[in-house]
Amino acid sequence: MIRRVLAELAERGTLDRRGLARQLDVPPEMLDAMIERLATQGYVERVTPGGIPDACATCPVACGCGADPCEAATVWRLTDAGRRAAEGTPQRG
Amino acid sequence: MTPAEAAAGVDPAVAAEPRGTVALLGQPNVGKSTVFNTLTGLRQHVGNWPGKTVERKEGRLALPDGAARLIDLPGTYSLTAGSAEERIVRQFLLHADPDVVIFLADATALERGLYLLAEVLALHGRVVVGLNRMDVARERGVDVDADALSRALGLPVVPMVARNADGVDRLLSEAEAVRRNPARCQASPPAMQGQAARVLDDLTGRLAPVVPAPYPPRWLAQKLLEGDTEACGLARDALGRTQWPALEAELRENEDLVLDVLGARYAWVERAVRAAVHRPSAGRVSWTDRLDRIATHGVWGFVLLFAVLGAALALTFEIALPLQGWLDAHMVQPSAAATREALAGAPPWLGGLLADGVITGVGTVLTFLPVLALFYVFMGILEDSGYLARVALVMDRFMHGIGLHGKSALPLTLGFGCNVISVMNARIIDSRAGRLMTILLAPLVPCSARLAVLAVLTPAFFGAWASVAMIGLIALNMLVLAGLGLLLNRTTFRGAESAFVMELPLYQRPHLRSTLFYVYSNLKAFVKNAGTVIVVASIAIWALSSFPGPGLENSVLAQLGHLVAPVGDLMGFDWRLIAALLSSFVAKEVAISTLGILYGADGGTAALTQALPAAVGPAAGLAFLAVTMLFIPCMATVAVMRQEAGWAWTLVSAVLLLAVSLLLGIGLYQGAVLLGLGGAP
Repeated sequence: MIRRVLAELAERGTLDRRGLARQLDVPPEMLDAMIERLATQGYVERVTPGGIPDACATCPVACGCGADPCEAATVWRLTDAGRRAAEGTPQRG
Repeated sequence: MTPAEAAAGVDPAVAAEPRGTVALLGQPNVGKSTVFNTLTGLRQHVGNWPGKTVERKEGRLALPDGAARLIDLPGTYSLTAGSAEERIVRQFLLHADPDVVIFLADATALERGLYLLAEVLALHGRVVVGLNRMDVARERGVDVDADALSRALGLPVVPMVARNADGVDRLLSEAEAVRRNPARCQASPPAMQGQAARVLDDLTGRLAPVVPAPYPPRWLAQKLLEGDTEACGLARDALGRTQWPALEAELRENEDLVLDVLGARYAWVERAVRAAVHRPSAGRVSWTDRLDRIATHGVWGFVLLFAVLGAALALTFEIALPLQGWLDAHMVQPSAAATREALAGAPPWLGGLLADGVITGVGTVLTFLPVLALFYVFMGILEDSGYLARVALVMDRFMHGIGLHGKSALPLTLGFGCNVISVMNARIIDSRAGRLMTILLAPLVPCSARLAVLAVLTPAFFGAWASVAMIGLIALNMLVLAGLGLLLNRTTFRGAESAFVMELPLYQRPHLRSTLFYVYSNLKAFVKNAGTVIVVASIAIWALSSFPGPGLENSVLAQLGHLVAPVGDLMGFDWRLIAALLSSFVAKEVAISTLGILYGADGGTAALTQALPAAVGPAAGLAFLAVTMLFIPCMATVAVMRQEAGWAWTLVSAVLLLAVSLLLGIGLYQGAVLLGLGGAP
């Protein structure tokens, strides 16, 4: 199951959380727990966009566009280790 | 004496002499402190764990069979030796071997809690599960069946609401029952399969003869696969220099088997959750899921996006253009005429400055407002309903699809609002090559200012076909972005792919208040920022186009325009179109007021939409719009590019965009003329 999360990400690029949960036939809460665990193991990482101008702080679409680090816009990114694992390549070092 | 002791009828003298230990364990914020205080009352001692700054709480627990020590273990998410809390909990379970572990789980986040339980069961089998926050779970429409969970886990499960002390007595009696009869716990911990199981068996076999008590060899083997540093140290000491290096090499070879260890735990968690938790999919959740099947679909998502965009643009033209015409005819033009009349006796330059410079500038801002207001109404509705976040996902996927990997896709998607944001957000990309590529591509994303220019000028050139032409021009931008992205990605900036999981909000009915606020704040920002720039630039353009004179053709601007006329000829541009293009560097919207001044539209943009087609043919119009969309970005974006990438790369970007936009402009104009679209008005 947890390998499928990495495989889907590596193959399809950007996914939405609910859509991926539907695809894997698990509740979104289950997917969250797995992604957080993958993050502690270094396979995915949370993206915190940097350099957000002050204007974004008051922008009403900030949560929708993914620029604002608000809860509704959580974005997780596959790391290089995650990609290697998804492709089945042993890691070095 | 505590309420629990009183309820259990415990003799205070007996309670004073604890025998045996009960541990209270769970994730942070699961309600452990509340349960601990309820169970122990004032009979508690607070100190620190030896050698640690982590708080240690111990109290006396009254059980029907006599008192016991209750230890409140630190809250933790897992039992890997990553933090002091995690090390304390597992050392305690290994060395103190409590009679019973009371495991508190949050009924609203059972998946996370059960993951920790799976880890606990690898070390300790006598566990009673307290299922806290049952009331909150019910409020959220989540139905957790404690009996079904008990059967699935093979452990006693007690539903609770700790803050009301609901279920605390039953928790105590279950703990007591397990203390008397450990066979009440029949949990079977997660089991691994395939290669992971074989490797685990092999490791366990090699560790069993050498690992000291109380470490279970199988648990240690699992932790080694997880890359646990403490477990590695333990195994290194136990195996010695002769055997450890070989085992370490094997572990490195099998590094990703940690995924199977985690996977087995989650499969175990999932079975329990599936058996016990029922989340009825209703209301917004179910609607969101149904709509997202289309809105985030690989193909239909795009079709829907273009349909929504097309409808929004068509409605904007339908409603805003007449309004724009009205404003122009009834406000801007009479003001210009009145100003000229009032200044009939004054020097001609003064009338020109006020009527052609200032009023044209203010008129552009004013007649822009209906178009922008409607544009923002639609954007506000789309944002508030939750659809805009799906647009980001669909665009992101498109960029990933054409090889513009996720790392660039997120900042570029933000560029639809403003290119400055794209350039600034390129910082999230780790590699310098990826960052530079994103910064070079950012100006190709059609920002809201360029879209607004398109919204005003496209109807002038294409009339009833404006919506189609606009979508075509946006698609052209995306194609150029894709092409250049592919080219840069394959050649100069080779980079690894990246991928994202995004959180999309649930759909909701748009609120009038928040939509109006969105429209207001955006219009205010436009008037305040772009508005000022447009008026000042209009005055400057008027001055350049009026002096030394006499007439437009003898102005400084005309002379400058004639210098680059040979390039303009290839695209069907006269010098006025070139001047408008160059003035868009100040702010994209300035192009409109410049055209207003140079084509003598007497102020408003509605008059411009009549004057332009008379002076510029459709082929040149198409080329002009395409070049405007792809041209060097506005001053603000260039300044941020210089700040983020330095002068050299900003220059590269300017040259690249100039080349791409002019080549495409020439190609489009010549192609359109060949197709008979008409080079002359």
